Amino acid sequence: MTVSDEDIRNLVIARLRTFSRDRKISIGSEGEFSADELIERVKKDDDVGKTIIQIQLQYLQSLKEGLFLSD
Amino acid sequence: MLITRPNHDIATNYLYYWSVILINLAKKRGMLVSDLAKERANPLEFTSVVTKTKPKLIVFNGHGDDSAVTGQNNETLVQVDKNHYLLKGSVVYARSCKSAHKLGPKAVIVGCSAYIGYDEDFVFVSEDTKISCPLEDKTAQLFLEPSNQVVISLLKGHTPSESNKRSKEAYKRNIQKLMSSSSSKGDVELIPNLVWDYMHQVCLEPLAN
Repeated sequence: MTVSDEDIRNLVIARLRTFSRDRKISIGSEGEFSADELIERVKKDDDVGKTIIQIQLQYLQSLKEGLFLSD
Repeated sequence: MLITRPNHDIATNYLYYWSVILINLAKKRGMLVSDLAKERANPLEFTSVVTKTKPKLIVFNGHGDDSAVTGQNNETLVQVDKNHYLLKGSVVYARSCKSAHKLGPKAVIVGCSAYIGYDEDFVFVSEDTKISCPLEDKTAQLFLEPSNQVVISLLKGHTPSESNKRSKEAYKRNIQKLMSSSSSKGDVELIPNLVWDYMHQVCLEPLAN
């Protein structure tokens, strides 16, 4: 089964929809973003959107590799 | 120790206040601290203080990119192929985005003792209600305490690579705490961002080390 870029964007958007409304993610000089703002950036596929996708994918990869399982 | 801590937006405001802990510890340990805060975090003053004091430890807080770290109002303090030689002889911790990608390696080549930084964006999460009091922000604390640990360990005499390791262990403890069943559902959403900083914080040293 192949996973398309759109599948990945939709997965990330689904995860962002559950993000708290009273928190913001600071991404360097790009600024601070609410979940709704990040969803728009992911849809636009701009630099901030791409960074957020990478953050989520790297986390999923770390789960697969068991990097943070208790010693 | 030379520390830069601009304060001109939300992110730098957080780093500005969380750096107070580092300044206090350095002073407590009898270290001379050159605190380039706010407007003093400018290229002229930075160059002057580095040249005069030749600090063993330089801590940057602020923004940056692959090739540079910046100060107040995003004025460039150090840039590859312009003045990265200023870092010669110092251990550097750059709490800024991406500078371990190009600036760090170049600095190490010209004699920077070690360069700890991030090869991607440094990210953290904050609470809207705590923006005016960053030190009370328990969410941001999960990110900024482990990053502070780099400098705390250096000040305690640990090597750069050991200090980086201790910082990453602090990140790992926070990640594992949030992964545990006792963690609230809302806090689980922070884990990907902590994993990101953990994965992209690197310690660059000369090959002989």
